[in-house]
Amino acid sequence: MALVELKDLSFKYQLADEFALKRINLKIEEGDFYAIVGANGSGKSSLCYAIRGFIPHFHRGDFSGEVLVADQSNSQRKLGEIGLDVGFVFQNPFSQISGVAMNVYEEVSFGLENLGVAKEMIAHRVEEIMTLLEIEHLRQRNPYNLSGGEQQKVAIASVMVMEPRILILDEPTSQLDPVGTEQVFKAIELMKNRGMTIILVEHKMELISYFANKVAVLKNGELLLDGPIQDVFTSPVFAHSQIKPPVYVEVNSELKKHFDYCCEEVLTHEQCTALLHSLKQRSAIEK
Amino acid sequence: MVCLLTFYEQKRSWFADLNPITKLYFVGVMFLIPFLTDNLLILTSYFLLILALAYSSKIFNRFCNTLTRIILPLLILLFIMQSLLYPGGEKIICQIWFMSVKQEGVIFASTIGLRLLIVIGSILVFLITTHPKDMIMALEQKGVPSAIGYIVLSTMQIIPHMEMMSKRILDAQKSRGVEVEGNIWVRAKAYLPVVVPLILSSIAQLENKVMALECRAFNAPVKKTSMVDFTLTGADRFVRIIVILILVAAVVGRVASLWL
Repeated sequence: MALVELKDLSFKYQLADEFALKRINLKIEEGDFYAIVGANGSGKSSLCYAIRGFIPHFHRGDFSGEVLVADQSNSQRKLGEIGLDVGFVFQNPFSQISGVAMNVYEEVSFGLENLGVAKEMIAHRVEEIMTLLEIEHLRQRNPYNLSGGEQQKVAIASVMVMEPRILILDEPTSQLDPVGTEQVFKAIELMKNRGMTIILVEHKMELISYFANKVAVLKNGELLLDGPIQDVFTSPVFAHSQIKPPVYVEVNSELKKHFDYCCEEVLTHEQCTALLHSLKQRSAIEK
Repeated sequence: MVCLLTFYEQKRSWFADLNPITKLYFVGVMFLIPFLTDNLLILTSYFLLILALAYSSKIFNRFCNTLTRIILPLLILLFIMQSLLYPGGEKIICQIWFMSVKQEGVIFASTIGLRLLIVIGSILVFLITTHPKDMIMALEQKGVPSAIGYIVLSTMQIIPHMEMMSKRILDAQKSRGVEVEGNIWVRAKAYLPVVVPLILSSIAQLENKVMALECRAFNAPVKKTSMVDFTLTGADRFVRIIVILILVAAVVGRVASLWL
C-alpha cells in the first residue's frame, strides 16, 4: 500500500502561463528513500508542496487530480492535520527560523512544544538530534546569528526532531560544505532506518545514488521516469532529462565498452577510480 | 550580529524571580496611580519606590542609563514648553527676553514629568527583569492566544534583522554604483532603491515564514506543551497584596481629596 499517492496531479500557479505540474502519477511506499531530480524549474518544489498540502491550500491556482497521504486526500484535510504526518525542510534556512526562540535549543524544541510532546521527551529528543547533526556547540546561540550552513543544519534538526512519518527535504544541503552535507545525509539515512519515508530534492547525484533507493525525474512539470535508482539512471530515457548522471553510470558504460565488465553496485567517485585502475592493470598483465 | 529588540538583562534578584504576571500587576498599578494624584510629594515618593526597586533588583545602572536615554529629551522639551507657554500662569519666576517662566507652568511640567517617569520607569523595570519568552508564556498560560505571543516575540527579533538586511541592500546598491552618500538630496534619492527591495524581500520572506511555521506544527490541532510552569510563590502573593494595597490607598486618597 502506497503511503503517498499522486493521481493525475496538475497544477498551475495563479498568474503563471504554464502548468508547473502536468498529469503526475506517482506512488511512494512506506520506508522509501525517494529522490526527486530535475533541472531548475522542472517542478520539483511544486511536487513537494503538493505532497505537503501547500498546493492547493496555501498556493492557489488551477488544481486538478488528487494527492493521497496515508490514504487521506490532502484536499479534505487542513494544513495543520497534514503536518502531523508530513515534515518539510525548505531550501532557504533563514525563512525557517521560527523567530520566537532565543537560542538554538529553543528553536529545535519549538515544533515539539507545538505538538504537545511531554517535557521530558522534548529534552531527550532535542539532545539526540543535536548530537546527531553535531550542533550541540550552537545550543546557546541566537538562530539569527548563525551562518547559512549552521542555520540549515538547525532547520533540518528542527523538523527531524518532530519525527514525522514522511520527511520532505527540498535541497537541504544547498548551503552546506561537503562535511556538513555528509552529516545531513547520514542523519537522513538514520531517519530512514527508523522507518521514516524520505522524499528528497537534490542535485548531488553521487549522494542520491548512494543513499536513495528510488528516484523520480521531472522535466518541464512532467514525470519523465520513476523507479529504482539503477533502472532510472541506466534508462535511455534518462539522457533526455538534462541531468548529468552519477559518475558510476558513465564509468559502467566505459567499463562495458573497454573491458566488457559491468559493476552492479553503486560506487563512489574514489571506488570508481580504484576499480578502473585495477582493471587497467589486469588488462595490461593479460596483454 | 542580530540582537533582540529587548531590554532584558539576565540577573537574578527577588523581583526578577517573581511570576511575570505579578510583575504585570505592579506595572498596571504604576500605570494608574500617578493619574490619581497631583501632589508632587506623593508622585516623587512613587518614583523613589521604583528607583529602590531597580536598586534591589541589581539593575540600577542599566535602569538609570536607559531611562535617561529615553526620557531626558522629552523632559527637557516638556519643561521648556510648559514653563514658558503655560496659559494663565500668574507667578513669574524669571524673565527671558520677552517670555516669562511661570511657577504654574513649572509645577505642571513637574507633574507630567513625574508621571512619565513613573509609568516608563515601571515598564522598564519589568522589561529589564523579565525574559520576553517568559512574559509571553505566562500570558499564554493565562489564556492569551499563542498567535499574539508569536507576533510580539517574532517582532522583537525581526526588526533588528530587517535593519541588518537594509544595510546589506545598501551595500549591494553601492556596489552597483548607486550613490548613497553625499548631501541630503543624494541621500533622499538613494532611499527608494533601498526601501523597495527591503519591502519586497520582506513580503517574500513572510510567505515562506508562514509555510515554515506550518511545518513546525504551529497550527496543529493539539494542546501545546509549555516548557516553564509559572507557579505562584509566597513572594508573589505578598507583592500582589502590597501592590493592591497601594492602589486602594491611592483611590481612597483621591476620593477623600475630592470630598474634602
